[in-house]
Amino acid sequence: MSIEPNLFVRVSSIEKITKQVKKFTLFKETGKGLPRFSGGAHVSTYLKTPSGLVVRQYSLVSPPDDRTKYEIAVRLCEDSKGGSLYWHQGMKVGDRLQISYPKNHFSLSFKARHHVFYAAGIGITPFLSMMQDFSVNGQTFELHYASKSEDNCAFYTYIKKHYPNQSHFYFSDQQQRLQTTSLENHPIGTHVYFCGPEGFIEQFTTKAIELGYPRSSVHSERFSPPKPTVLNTFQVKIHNGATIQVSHTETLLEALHKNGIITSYSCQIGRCGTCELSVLEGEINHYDSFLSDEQKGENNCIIACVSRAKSDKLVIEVK
Amino acid sequence: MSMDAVFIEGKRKYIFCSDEHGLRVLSSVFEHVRKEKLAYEWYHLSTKTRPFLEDFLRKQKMGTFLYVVLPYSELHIVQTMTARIGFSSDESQFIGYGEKWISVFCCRCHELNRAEEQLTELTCIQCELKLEVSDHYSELHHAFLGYPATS
Repeated sequence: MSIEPNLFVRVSSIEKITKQVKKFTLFKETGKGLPRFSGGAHVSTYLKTPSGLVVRQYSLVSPPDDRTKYEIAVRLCEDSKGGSLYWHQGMKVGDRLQISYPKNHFSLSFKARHHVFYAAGIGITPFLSMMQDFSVNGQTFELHYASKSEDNCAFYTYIKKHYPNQSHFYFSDQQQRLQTTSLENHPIGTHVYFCGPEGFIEQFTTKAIELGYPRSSVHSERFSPPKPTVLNTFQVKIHNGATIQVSHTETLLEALHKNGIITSYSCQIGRCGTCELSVLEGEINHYDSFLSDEQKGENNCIIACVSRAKSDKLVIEVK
Repeated sequence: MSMDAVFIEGKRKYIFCSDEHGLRVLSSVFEHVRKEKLAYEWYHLSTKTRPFLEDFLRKQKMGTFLYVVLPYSELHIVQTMTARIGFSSDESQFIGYGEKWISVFCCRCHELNRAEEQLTELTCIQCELKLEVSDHYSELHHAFLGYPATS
């Protein structure tokens, strides 16, 4: 797996902020300060683990203007394949690692008159830097944050202290539920932002569209790739004649790389469009959130990190 | 800016904002909304109701779609107001009628000159420079840039 242009950083502190979440502070090894970023940005982290290189994306939770350090918050996943497990158990203060430059696929809309953030669990992370951006430019916003309990609610004390009037918490152990009906009350000019598990994003996005929100006013950030409804095996013929097999356990992008066909990629969650390939023949099951509905209907390109063939075979063009 | 109102489906409320002439322009869309039993509200624009329009529009919730029909001379003011409130181009349609005027921004003195839409040349009312109307449009001034005429 190749590494894109990056920064070398060291871990300067590790803080356990809930039972399952740790906050890591990273500082640049040498030279000038770290690049500034915009609210909602993330970095890719490259971890050299005993089982190989693991690439994971994490939102930056530190103030966007602070160029002395970056902070990320990592929740230990029960089914971790090495990313969060390594961060929680393998990473030590002083360790050196590579990270990408900040990227933002979840930026604030410049057209919005009011911003409403909906977070579930660790989905709070991109909103922290967004809210910090607002404290500078003075726009209005509100936060609706669902968590299992107050103890499990990452950054609870911080948010309550800094944004007491804008924040609303929903703890399921106290029978409080964040309902989609909340979307019915937002004034015209509102943009809504969702971050959390797949089901949460899907439920809120569907409701917003049902209510008549324009798609351009609805934003979401996933921290894992969407789950394909059909995990099929299919064949891919490259326009130069080579044929490769994509098994049901791998993505098209992984299969291409395994066979030595190196194509560009970045987010690996179907968001950024870097791994888009032209499709010359065959039908596609699109699982990305990059292409528009119209582009998906044209059936002539595929986001290789998440989307799959609907037909048994695809003919693609790799430049 | 379209000439005919087009029904946009999937909204929870429709607002029709027009003067008497607009009633006719919006009739087909209105009939459709009524037939489908969708929520709607008319805002009849007159000199009496005009001052309250901004307050009325500010109270609307997301999922609302707005139709506005007015003479061209008044349309831009309402369009600017709705954009300020937060109605995006995906949430509104504006239909103008009557004589269409454009503004021409003088490149020398920055005066805004009113002109008929078809006009290609004019003399600036302030500095008297002969201007040629370009297709360079400014969203900020709602005007086309006028360059010194070469002829």
